[in-house]
Amino acid sequence: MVILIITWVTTFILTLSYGDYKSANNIDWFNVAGEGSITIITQLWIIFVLLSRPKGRVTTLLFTGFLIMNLSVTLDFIDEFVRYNEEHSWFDKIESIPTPFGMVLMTLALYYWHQEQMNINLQLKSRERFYREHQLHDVISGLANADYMKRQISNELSLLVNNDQYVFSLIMLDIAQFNQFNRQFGDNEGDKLLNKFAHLICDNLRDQDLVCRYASDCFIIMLPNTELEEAEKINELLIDTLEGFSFKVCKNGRLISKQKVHTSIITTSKSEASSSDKLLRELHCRLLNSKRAFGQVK
Amino acid sequence: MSAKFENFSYIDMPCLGLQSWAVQLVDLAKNRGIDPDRLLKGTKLFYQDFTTGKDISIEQFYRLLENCNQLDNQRELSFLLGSKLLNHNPLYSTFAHANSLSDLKKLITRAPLNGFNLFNAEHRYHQGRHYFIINLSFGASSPKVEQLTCEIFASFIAAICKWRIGKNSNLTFSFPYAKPKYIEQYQTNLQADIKFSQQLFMISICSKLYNKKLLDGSPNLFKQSLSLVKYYQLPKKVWLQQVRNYLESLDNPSLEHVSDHFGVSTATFKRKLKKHNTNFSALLDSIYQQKAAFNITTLEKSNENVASELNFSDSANFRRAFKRWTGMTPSQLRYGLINTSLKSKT
Repeated sequence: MVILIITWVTTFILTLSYGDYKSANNIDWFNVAGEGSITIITQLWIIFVLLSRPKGRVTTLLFTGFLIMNLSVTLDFIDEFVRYNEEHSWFDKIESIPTPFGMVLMTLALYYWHQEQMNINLQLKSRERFYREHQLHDVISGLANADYMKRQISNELSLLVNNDQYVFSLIMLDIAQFNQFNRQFGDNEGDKLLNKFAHLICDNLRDQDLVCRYASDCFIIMLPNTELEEAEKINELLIDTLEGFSFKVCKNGRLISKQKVHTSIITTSKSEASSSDKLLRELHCRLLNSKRAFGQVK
Repeated sequence: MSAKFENFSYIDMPCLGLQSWAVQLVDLAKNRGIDPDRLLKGTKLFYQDFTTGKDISIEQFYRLLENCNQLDNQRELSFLLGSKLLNHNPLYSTFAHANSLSDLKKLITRAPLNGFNLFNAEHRYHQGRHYFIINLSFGASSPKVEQLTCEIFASFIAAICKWRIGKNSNLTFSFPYAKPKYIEQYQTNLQADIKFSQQLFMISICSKLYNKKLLDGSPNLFKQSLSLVKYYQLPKKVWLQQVRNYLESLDNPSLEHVSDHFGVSTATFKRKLKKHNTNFSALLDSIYQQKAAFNITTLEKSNENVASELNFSDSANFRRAFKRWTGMTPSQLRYGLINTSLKSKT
C-alpha cells in the first residue's frame, strides 16, 4: 500500500513539475473521463488484490504487474492536463512502454496463481465438489451449508433418472450430548468442536464425497455412486475416527475424548427416487429413532 | 370497571430483560463474523450500550430481529437464542429444580419475568394431550419478525424439554406460516413433529411426559426459588394482550365499548392499535380465527357447535366468516387435516 502511494505521488510530482498546464478549453473532457475511470479502476483492482491475498510470490507479481500498468495509465491521464516542453518530450513517448511489461508480469502471476489454485482445489475437494459458491459456505465449520447440499442432492437425483444402475448414499451424523457440551464449556468451544469434526470428516472421506454442515450439530455426507454396503463401511470408519478423537478445551487445557456420535444412512436408487426434501426428512427421522433407541439402551 | 391507561406496557416501552436477549443475539452473530453495527442498524442502540444495562423496548428488539432476517446465511441465530433465553433470568433456578413440566407452565403464564411477557401461552387439555396456544403479546411488526419470534420460543421450549426430560420429549409444533426454505434448522433444533401453514402457533405434549416426575427435581429448592421469584416485581400487563383477553370475554364487542373500558377515546384506542401493527377488526378476526381453528382441528367439533360458541346465528354465516379469517372453509380445514395425516402414515 505504501509503495502504491509513493509511486503515485512521485509520478504526479515529476510530470507536473516538468510540464506546462493546458488551458481549460484545450482539455478534451471525453478523454479525461475515459482515462480517469481506467486509472481509478486499476487502482481499485490493486487494492482488492492486496486485501484478499496472503503475501507470497503470486501476490508480489500481481501487484507489480498492476502497478506498472497503473503507472502507464496514470501518465496517459495526466497527459490530458499537461503539455511537456521540447526537452522533456520523451515523457510523451515512454508512457506506453510500461504496459507490455506489466502485462507480461501479470500473465506470469496468473500462471502461478493457476498452479496454486489447483493445489488448493485438491485440498478442498471433499468440501465443495464441482462448484464454488462462496455465499453457500458455513462460517463455523468452513463447510458448505444445507442449501448447497440440497442442490447437490437434486443433482444426484437427476442422475438417477437416466441410469438404472446408479445409486448414491447419504449419511447424517449428529454429535451426542452436544447441548451439554455447549453448556459446560461455552458456545465458542462448541463451535471449535464443530470445526474440528468438520476437518476430521473431510480427511476421512474419498475424493468424490461431499460433506456439509446441515444445521446445529448435524452434518450430512453425500457418497455418490455408493451402495449401502460400502456406505456402511465408510460410516463405521468415520464413527471410529470421530469417537477416538480427543478435543482440547482451551480454558484449562483439558482433553475431552470419546465424544459419541449418532448416524443414519440412506441409499437411493432409481426405483425409490424422490425429492431432496423428502430424502432429508426421512434421513432425519431415522437419526432421531436411532438416538431414541440409544437413549433407551443406556 | 375501567382499566387505567398507565398500568399497561406498550410496544414502545422499555422492557426489562430484553436487553440480555439482545446482547446474546448480537454476540452470537459476532462469533459468526457479523458486524454488531449491522445488526443494530436502526435500533438506536450501540454495541457499547450493552455494558450499561439500559433496557430496550419491544420495538427495538423487533427491529433487531428484522436485521437478523436480512442475514441469509444465519438462520440458526433465532434457534440458538431460543435455547439461551433463561440465561441471566431470575426464573432459571425454578426451571432447574421444577418437579415436572406442569410446574413450569404456571411460571411462564403467571410470572413472565424478563422478556417472557413477550409470549402469551394459553393452556388447553384434550384427550391426553396438553396444548399451548401461543400469542405474541405485543403483536409483531412484520410476518418475518413474527416467524423469528416463533422460532425463538419454539426453540426455547424444545431446549427446556430436552434439558429436563431428555430425548423423548415427543413434542409437536404447529406454525402459522408456510414451510421455510431452511427447514433443516427446524428439524435439528426442535427434533419434533413439525407442521407448517397451520392456523395458529401451537405446541403440544402428551400428558404422561407433561406430568412426569423429574428425577433431578427438588421440591424444596423449587419452593425456595419460587419465593425468590416473588421478590421480583412483575412486569406491567401487556395492553394488547389485555385488549385481546377482554375482546374474547365479550359477546359482540363494539369499538366504543372496548375503548371506554380501557379508559381512552376511540381515536386514541385506534392509534394505540395501529402502533401495535393491527386494527380493531383484524384483532377480532384473529381471535375468532384461533378459537374456531382450534375447536375444529384439535377438538374436532362440528360447525354448529363452534358457530353457537362464537355467537353466530347460523352456520352459513359462520362458514362465510371462517372463510374470511382463514382463506378456507371449515370442511376444507378438516379435510386438509385428514389428508396430511394420511400422507404421513403412508
